[in-house]
Amino acid sequence: MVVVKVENLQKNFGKVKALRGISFECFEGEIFGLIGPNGAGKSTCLRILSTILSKSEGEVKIFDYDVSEKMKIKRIISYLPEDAGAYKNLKGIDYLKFFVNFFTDVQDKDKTLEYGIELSSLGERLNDKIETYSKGMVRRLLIARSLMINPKLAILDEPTSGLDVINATQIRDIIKNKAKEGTTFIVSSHNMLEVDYLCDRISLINNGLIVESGDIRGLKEKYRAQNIEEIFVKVVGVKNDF
Amino acid sequence: MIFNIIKKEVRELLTRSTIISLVFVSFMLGYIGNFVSKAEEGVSKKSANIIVEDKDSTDLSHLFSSLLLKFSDKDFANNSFNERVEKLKKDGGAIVTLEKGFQDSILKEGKGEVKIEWVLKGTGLYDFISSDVIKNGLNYTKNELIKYLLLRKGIKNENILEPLKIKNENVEVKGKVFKSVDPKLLYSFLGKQTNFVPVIIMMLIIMSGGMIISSMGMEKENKTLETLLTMPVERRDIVLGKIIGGGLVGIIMASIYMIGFYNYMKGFTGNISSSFDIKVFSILDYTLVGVSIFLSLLSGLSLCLLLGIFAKNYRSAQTLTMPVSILAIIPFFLTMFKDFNSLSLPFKIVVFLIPFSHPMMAMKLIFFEQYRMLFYGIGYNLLFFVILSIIIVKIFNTDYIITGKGFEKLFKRRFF
Repeated sequence: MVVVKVENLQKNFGKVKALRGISFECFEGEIFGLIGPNGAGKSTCLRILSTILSKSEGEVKIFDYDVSEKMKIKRIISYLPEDAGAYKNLKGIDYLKFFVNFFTDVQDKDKTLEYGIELSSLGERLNDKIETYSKGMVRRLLIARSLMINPKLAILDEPTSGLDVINATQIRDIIKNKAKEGTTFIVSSHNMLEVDYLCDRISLINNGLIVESGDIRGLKEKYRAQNIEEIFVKVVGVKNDF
Repeated sequence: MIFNIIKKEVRELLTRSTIISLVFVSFMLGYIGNFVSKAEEGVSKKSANIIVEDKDSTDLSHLFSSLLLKFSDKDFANNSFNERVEKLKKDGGAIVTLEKGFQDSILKEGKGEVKIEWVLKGTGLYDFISSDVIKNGLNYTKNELIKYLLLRKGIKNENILEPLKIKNENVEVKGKVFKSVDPKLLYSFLGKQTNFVPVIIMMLIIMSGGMIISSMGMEKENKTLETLLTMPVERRDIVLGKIIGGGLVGIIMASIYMIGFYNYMKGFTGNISSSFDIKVFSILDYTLVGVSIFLSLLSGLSLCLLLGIFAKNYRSAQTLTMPVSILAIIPFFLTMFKDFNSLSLPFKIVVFLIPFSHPMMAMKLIFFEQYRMLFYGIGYNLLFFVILSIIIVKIFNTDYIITGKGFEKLFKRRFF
C-alpha cells in the first residue's frame, strides 16, 4: 500500500529553489531513506511532509490525505527534527505526558505513556529534569516521544546524529522493530552505514532534485558499488559531497 | 588577527533587529527627555495662579494681599477677575480668602484666618507643584507680616509668631471636590491608592514579556517549536496557549508583587484616608481594574510574542525585550509626573496608544469617576490584543515561523 506519494514537489524560498520537482513513493511498513549532502533539500522535503512548511508546487499525499489536510495528517504522523532539543525545565516523564495529551483520540493514555517510558529506556532518570540529561538521553527521549503514539508514518531527520555507537545502535534497533510492527519510516541521514543498515529503499537527492531511487541491493548491483556513498558519487559524479 | 575576531563579533551581535530596537529605544528616550525638560520648567516655576479675595479690606489684609500676590503669575494677574477665575479653574491655583475681621483677629488674638480653595490641574507630581509655590508664598507672607507687626506696629505678643491660621477649605481636582484637606495629603493618599498599579504593570510587562520572547527564542533554538507544530493542534491554539499561559504566570507574579508593594506603600503613607472623605472602591471598581490589567497584559504578551517570532535564537531574543521595556517605562513615568488630562495632545496620543498606559491610569480614573476613559482603554486593549493575535496567527500559519524567510526585505538577519 502506498503511504506517501510525492509528485513534482517544488519549494521556493524567494529566489532560492530548494526543491525543483521531486517525486517518490513510500510503502507501508518500509524504511525509506532520503539521502543527500547538506543543503540538498532533505530537511525541506521532510518538513513539507510533516505539514510544517507549505509546498510551492506539486502534489503530496499521505495515506490519501492531501498535505493541506494538516490536522488529519498530524494525527497519524510523527516528526523528529534534526538536532532537536526538549523543554529543559520539564522532567522526562512530564515531557512525554505533555505530548501524549495532544492525542486525545488515543484510547489509553496511560498505556501510551508506559510504552513511551519503555521506548526511552531511561528508567528512573525520567523523573529528573531534562537539563540534566546527556545528548544521547535526550535523543532517546525524543525518539520515544515520536514513536510512543504508534504513528502510521514516522519522519525522522538524522535520528542518530551526534550520538555514540551504543546510543545510535539502540535507536536503530527501535526503528527496525517498529517498522516490523507496521510503522512506515522516512529517514534522512548522512551516515551511509546507518542507511545501509536501516533502509529498504532510498532516494538520492542533490541540489533539489532526486537523482536516483531504488532498493539498496538493486542500486549496488546497478552501479557495481560496495556501498551507498559510492553509488552517490557515481550518480552525481562528484566526490567528497558527504 | 584580533581585527578578524572583532569583525566577527560585531557582525554577530549587531543584527538588524538589534539596530531597529536600539533606534526605537533611542527615539523614545529622546521623547522622554523632551518631556522631562518641559516638566522641569514647571518645577522651577516661582509663580502660580493666585486670587486673593479680600473681604476685610484693612491695612493688614492689603499687606497680606500684596505680599502673597508677589507669587502670582504676572500674566495671570493682568486678567480681569472673571478671566482669572476661569483660568484658575482650568490650569490650577488657589483662591485665598481673607474674611471680614482678619486684621482685628490678628491684633486681638494674634491669629487671622486665611481660607484657601485649591484647584489642581491633575494628580501627577508636577500638577501639585503650584500648591508648593503658593505654600512658599504663604510662608513668605507670614514672615513679612511678623516683621511688620513686631517692627512697625510694636506688638510684642508671642502669639503673633503664628499670625495666620490656614484653613484648607477644599481641593478641587478634575471637577471632584475634597473637603478640608491639604493638597499634599491628598497627593500622598492618591499615591498610596494608585501608584502601586503602574509599578506592578511595569514589572509585570518587563518580566513576563521578557519570558515569552525568550521562550520563543529557545523554542526556535531547540527546535521544540517544529515538534509542537506537528502536533494535532491548531496553530491558533498554540499562539493563544502561549499568550494566556504567559498571562497566568504574569497574574501570579503580579499578585505577589502587589501584596509586597501594598505593604511597602502602607509603611510610607500610614492611614491617612481617615482624615477626609474619599471614594471607597467597590468590588466592581476593582473588577474593572483587574480587567484592565489582564487585557493590558494580554496585549503586552501578544506584542512580545510577535517580537519573539523575529528572534532567531535565545540570544537575539534578549535584545528584543528592550523596546517592550521602554514601552512599559514611558507611561509609568508620564502618569507618575503628569496627569493624562494635563499632557499635550501628542503625548496624550502616545500614552493612549501604549497598551500598558490604561491599567496604570485605571485607579485614578475610577477615583475621579472618569469611567468613559477607563472603558475606552479597556476597549482599546481588547482591540489591540485581538488584532495582534490575528497577525501572529497569520505569521504562525506561514513558513516564516520556521524559516525566518519571507520578510527578508524588512528583516534581514545581518546588518553588514
